[in-house]
Amino acid sequence: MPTEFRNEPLTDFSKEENAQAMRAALDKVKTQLGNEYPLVIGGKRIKTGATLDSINPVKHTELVGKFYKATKELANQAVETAYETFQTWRNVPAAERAELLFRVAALMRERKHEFSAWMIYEVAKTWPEADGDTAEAIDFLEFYGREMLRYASDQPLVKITGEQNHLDYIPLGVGAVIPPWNFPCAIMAGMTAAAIVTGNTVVLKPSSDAPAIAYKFFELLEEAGLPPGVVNFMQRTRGENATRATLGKACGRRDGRQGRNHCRG
Amino acid sequence: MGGKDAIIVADDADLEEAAAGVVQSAFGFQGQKCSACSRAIIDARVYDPMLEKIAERTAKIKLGDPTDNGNTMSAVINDKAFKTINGYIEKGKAEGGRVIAGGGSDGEQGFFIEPTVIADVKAGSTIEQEEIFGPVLAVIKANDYDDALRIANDTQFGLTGAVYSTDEAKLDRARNEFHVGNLYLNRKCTGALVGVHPFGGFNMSGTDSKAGGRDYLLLFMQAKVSSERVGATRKRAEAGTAI
Repeated sequence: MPTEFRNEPLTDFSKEENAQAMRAALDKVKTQLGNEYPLVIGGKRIKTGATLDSINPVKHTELVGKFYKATKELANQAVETAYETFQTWRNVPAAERAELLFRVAALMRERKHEFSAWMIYEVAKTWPEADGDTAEAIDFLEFYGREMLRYASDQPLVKITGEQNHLDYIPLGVGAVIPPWNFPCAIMAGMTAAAIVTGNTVVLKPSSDAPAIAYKFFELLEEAGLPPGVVNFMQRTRGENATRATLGKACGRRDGRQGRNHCRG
Repeated sequence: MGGKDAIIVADDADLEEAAAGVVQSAFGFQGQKCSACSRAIIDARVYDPMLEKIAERTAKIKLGDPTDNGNTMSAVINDKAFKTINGYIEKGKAEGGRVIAGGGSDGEQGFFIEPTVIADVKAGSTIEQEEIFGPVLAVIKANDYDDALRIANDTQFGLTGAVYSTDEAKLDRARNEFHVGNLYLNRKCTGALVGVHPFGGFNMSGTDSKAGGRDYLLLFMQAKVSSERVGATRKRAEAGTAI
């Protein structure tokens, strides 16, 4: 059993060692600015013919990252892959799915300032605002992991003679996670974590104003051992802002079968 | 989604505390939070001293590159936001608002907008009703506490809100009458903590699904009940036997 939930403490940057650690993280992330990032579908890295730039809001000239954009076909493929992966992921015991979230939280805690540094460059958060965002992301991982264990335990039902009754919480299927840019780590990680810990699979399309921080989180999921295809990383479809429509349409066909989609955004 | 979150300052409030809470809630992350305070509704009896305190604290905010920890506010997210927010500042002035702090912007290097406080905003006017999602605070004068609550609730949103008062009866009334998903008493209206303050609002602010609360995971699951008659034949296949 995990320990009782406690909120991640905020960092006191008036302490020189903490300020030093943040400056080091900012320097480290600075060397990675301007890198290119692929789409990831079923663990496969995919590059396309068009990219989207993530720019530092304080400097029009500073490129944070270049992101390959999906096509409608790739959006469909991401949904199909997520659907196939759902058939196995939904049977992974809840305790294992929760453990995965706890591992991701531990990794993020180790690299806390790096995650904050990405937000400082990508969405212009001040140190304490970025630190709060990262702390909240860690909280969501720790909290939803524990919540899943609670929902997976025996649920109270009225007993009657002659029957054995059970209530199980089962997942919905494939979900599109389309988070906003203003809490680009916390809300993005929270929505994704909630979807996968409950046994769903995901197509994650981060805000085009904050894709780098989302990619860093995606890498953390892989590092913690999330199987390929449980979360698929997308940028928006080319030419039009049609990700929502494409994903919605692609998922609509699932009606009536286990795994029909449930889009949230 | 979104909000037009208000902080009410009653005539008996600790004004220093209230000014600190208003400014922090209004300008944290450039006001780009669903929970940000975009309306300060102040009892007429403390309106003038509160304006002074809010303007003073706002003037101390340092706008700049956030890699420098000395800067306490930074640029807004993108060009579209830069234009929209500046448009609202103009609209606020055109509708009779008085800029008592900030008001300027500089888009040369990045999307910088000064923390802006607009006083004498009329209830029902554009910047009192529409979400700006930027560093713009509208200050509205209320006749009394009844009037303040009425103005606060006269919105299509209902996410966060706060009341500063030393009067227990006023705080109790807020708990009953201030229609928001997350109500804060004598503290700022931003900074919800996971598990401590399950977060989500009413009306156009959302479906009141509370992120970081005990109900949240239910949104991703469905309950399935299986019922088995006791005493019916239930055979287990031998290991290795084909079924």
